[in-house]
Amino acid sequence: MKNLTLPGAFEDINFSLHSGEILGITGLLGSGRTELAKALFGETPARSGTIEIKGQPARIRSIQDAIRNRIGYVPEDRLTEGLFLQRSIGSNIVTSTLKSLLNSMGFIDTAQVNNRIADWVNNLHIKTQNVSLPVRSLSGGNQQRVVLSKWLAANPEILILNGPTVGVDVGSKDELHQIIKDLAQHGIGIIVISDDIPELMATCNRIMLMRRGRIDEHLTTRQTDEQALSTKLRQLAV
Amino acid sequence: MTTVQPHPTPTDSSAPRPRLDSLIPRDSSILRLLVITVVIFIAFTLARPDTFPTMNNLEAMARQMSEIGILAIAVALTMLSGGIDLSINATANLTAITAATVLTAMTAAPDTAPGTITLAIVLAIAAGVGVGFLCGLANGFLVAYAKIPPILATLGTMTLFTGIGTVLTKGAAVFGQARLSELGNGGIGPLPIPLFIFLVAAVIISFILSRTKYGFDLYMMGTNPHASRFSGINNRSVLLRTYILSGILSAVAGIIILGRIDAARIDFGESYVLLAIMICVLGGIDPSGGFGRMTGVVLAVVALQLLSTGLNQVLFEDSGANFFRQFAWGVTLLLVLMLNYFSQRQRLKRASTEK
Repeated sequence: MKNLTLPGAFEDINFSLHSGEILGITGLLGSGRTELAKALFGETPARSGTIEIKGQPARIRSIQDAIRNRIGYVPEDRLTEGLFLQRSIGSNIVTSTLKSLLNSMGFIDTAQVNNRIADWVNNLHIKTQNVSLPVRSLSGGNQQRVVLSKWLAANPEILILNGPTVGVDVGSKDELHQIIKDLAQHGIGIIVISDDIPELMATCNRIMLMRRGRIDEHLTTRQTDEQALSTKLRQLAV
Repeated sequence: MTTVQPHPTPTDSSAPRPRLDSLIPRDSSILRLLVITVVIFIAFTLARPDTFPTMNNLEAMARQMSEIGILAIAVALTMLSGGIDLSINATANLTAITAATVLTAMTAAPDTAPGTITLAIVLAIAAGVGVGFLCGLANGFLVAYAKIPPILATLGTMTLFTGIGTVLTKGAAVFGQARLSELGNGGIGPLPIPLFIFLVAAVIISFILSRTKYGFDLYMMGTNPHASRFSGINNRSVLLRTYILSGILSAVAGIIILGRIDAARIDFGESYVLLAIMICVLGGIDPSGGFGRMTGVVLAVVALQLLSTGLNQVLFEDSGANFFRQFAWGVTLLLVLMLNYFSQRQRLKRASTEK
């Protein structure tokens, strides 16, 4: 990421993300953190600057570009942007990857779809009796697992999680953190955007503080503690 | 807790696994509609045993419902996307006018060679479908790229297409030289050709909806366009394809109309638009998008046709038959909507007590 700029949202953002690393981005609301995430995902592409993936310049002008570059994005607002609440758990899981589930004639391969769904439900321990129930029937933590599995099915190299545990109960929160760490261990580069300081401390290797569209400070979690981080975040407000 | 893998190991296939019945949920309203249809049929059969359940009457009904049925499928697709297409009838008429013009230009002379006639029929149908494609493309562009709300965009194009047709024909009828009569009035065995086309269209669209990526994307986008965008579905291309499909189906209906009455006029069948919308809603297509099946649309077409023909027969002496027909359609529509509403509320209540 070099000199990434979107006027009015963020300016001159430079950072790198290694495979297997969990990078935290925090800052107050309106600091440009969500805008940065959406730019990386091609939703509102950056006006200038370059993005390189594995040393190759990547052109990300649309969400389809981002997916082609193996980037996944778990949005901030799970209920309106992340999920199709009235649709089945199964449909939600395969939405982003249906292309890989077509048979040689170009039609949906139902058996393969069912296998894919069953695999992910088991893998992420989504608690449901029947995957044809609407996602709405799940708890917050399980809903978030559905969003995660939708992207994991796309086999991402970079996963951007915006507020991964907002509205999730405490027990599920720890499990989701464990899932995030497991995924990093398997080599996925992960960006966690959050205001939840304990969450950032528990999951991330490094944390970036954003302020008014710029990166204010880089920290490694080893250098700091919850106390210091929350003091810094408070100072950003003034 | 076992660790999560980015690539899940395939689950043991002998283990009990969750079942996915269908990507499109089944709908209890379809069963209800089937019962209503059967009840209507039985009621009129009892009321008019000599005229209602006869082969002649059934065939007449099959012919009449085919063109409106195809138009209803067109509207249903746009409704699934969360939009609507008000220009279906204008598209159908413009198509019919185009096809009739081609037929008149090429085969008006009484001594036209059979080869020329065949060529003219092929060209007329191709030109008609082409017009439907272009009308759909215009709608799709306005909705998907100019982001005009579908109800306004297609209201605009409806007026535009009607205007073009009026200028081309000066409001008069264009005749088809009886070249397509077989298509409109012929039959394959006892099966009228228009009914055959209607059923084939319903089956093909149904297959597209349930077994292609486009169909899946259409349902997902209709349910929640934000989430579909964030899932990497190309909403624009889905919308564009939906309106083009709607335009082509309208063209097919237009060609059947031309075949049946051997004339094309720009103001033909003005009530078809609202009727098609009513059929969709009756058939369980959710006007806010994402839910509904073709089976429902087909059943709703049959139900309304039975009702309208039946009432005409029962009230044959009564000059108010036409007036009463609309009244009955309205009552049926509202009744089914209310039934659906209450059963859904019941279901939600049950679901929340189960939790």
